Amino acid sequence: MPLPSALPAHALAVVSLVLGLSGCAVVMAASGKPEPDLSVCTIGATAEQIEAQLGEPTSTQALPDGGSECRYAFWKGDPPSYGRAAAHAAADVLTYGLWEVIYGTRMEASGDPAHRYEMRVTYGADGRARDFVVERLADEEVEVLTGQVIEGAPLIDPIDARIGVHYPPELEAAVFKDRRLFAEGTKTREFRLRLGPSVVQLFDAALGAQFAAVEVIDRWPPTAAGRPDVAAVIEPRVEQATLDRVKLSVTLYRPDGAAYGAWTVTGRAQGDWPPSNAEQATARVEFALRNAAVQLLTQFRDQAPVRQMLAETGAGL
Amino acid sequence: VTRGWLRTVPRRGKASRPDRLLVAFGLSSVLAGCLPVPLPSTVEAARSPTARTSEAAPASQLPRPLAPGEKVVIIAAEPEDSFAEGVREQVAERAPTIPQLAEDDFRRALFPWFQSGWPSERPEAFERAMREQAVRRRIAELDLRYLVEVRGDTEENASFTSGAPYPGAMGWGRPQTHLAAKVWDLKEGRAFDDAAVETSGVEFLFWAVYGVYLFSMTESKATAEVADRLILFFEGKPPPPEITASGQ
Repeated sequence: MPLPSALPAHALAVVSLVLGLSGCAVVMAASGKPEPDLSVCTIGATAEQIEAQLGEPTSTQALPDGGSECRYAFWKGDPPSYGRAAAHAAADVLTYGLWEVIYGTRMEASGDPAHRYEMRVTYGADGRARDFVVERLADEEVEVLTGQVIEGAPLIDPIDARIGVHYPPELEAAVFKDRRLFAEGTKTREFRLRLGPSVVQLFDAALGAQFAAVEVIDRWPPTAAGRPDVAAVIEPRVEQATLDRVKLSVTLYRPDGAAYGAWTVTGRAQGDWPPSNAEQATARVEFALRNAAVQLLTQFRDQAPVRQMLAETGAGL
Repeated sequence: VTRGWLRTVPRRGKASRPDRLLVAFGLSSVLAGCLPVPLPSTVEAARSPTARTSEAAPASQLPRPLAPGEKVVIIAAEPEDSFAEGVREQVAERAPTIPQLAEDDFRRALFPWFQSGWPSERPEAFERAMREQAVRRRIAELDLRYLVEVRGDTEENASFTSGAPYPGAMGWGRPQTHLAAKVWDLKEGRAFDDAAVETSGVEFLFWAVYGVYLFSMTESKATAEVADRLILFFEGKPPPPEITASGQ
């Protein structure tokens, strides 16, 4: 039997290739995104029951009480679209399959952001769910990672005392979300602020200037046998962080773990508004952190817990 | 009407008379919107940093002139406020021998004191900063004598023939600029009364382009007047007469 001419063979190869590849975008568009059965998400459900529907968590964070917080991403309300499937098939044929390779599959895999959701499940120490929070994921996500806030040594007359500082484990890992509307209010952009390392650097520099010596305390509160040899211990936390402000709380403890008291400092942000990218958002949050550092440093001795500590220990007199 | 205008526009060749009128009106509107016609601005009120005490005060209470090498720093009360920059430039232009420290260098060197947004209106804020030995030491290292903080604003007071700033509407403005410069002697640790200036002017403009306002005449007049008074102050010379809002 004579071989077919080159053209039909070429066409056959292209069609085969297209049909093979179109298992992706065309089929994905025609089948839509499967919706999980959320009825299993009830108080007391186990992680296995929930993950059978939602899949593996996108992130897991241990909680101080022995529990954990897991985040699951899922799709809801993204139905099959035969029109979109037909459009993919046509584009595949017209581009000899290149559409599939370059764009089609990726487009279908990423899906319509309007249908992406996240469920945050808090598990107790017994491994059973005790709280659920569901929210629609933003159309765009912007990671904001702040850097060094204080450069050089602040001009402060130091208190002649040794201070301890305890950074809670959740401080460095904490992520604060700030969701804003953009594109004439039709889309959401979520800024994820990770400022824990900057806060640690801020307190390292601020306390280093404010006291004669600083000791980082890993375990807090102390055991009866393991009281640190310091005048007091400071524990910073981030109460709130947005693109407008950063609110820090500072708790001052006696070495035995009893609290002198706490106060807050709020740093206000400045800069480009609204921020349209990570750089502008980072600059705003860094300004707010720096502003908080100014207040922390210039008003430190005026705080009632600090005055009480100085009076009790005789430091700085 | 629209179809009628369109019919007069030829595809090629010389523009017809209605065309030329349209183009001329459009161009003049755009240009006028960008370039208001300024009339002279006047200083309505002005006083020097020592104005409230100098007339009756003995000469010893006049500011000591800058010693050789001593610097001044002029900072903005509000971030991103251009008035301080205007005063800095005017001082540098009129008295280039007066050494100025850059605002950024000053804030970096004195951190965490005198940062953007510090409560300068409260005397205790300045006194608190000056209690720090480290601050006094740094000021001495920098050989910094006077700190000037500039605060200003301009009121537009604009009116339009159509009652609102629509494109093509003719408008006029009576801008007023208020400028105040507070002075501290960092080496002697004392504050002076504000140098304050108020200027006003009249400007005509066509409102052809949204948001274009150039009230630089009142602002530059105000920054120049403040700079003149500051220079006399830095040189330890008696201040010029105070100008009150009702006239000299």
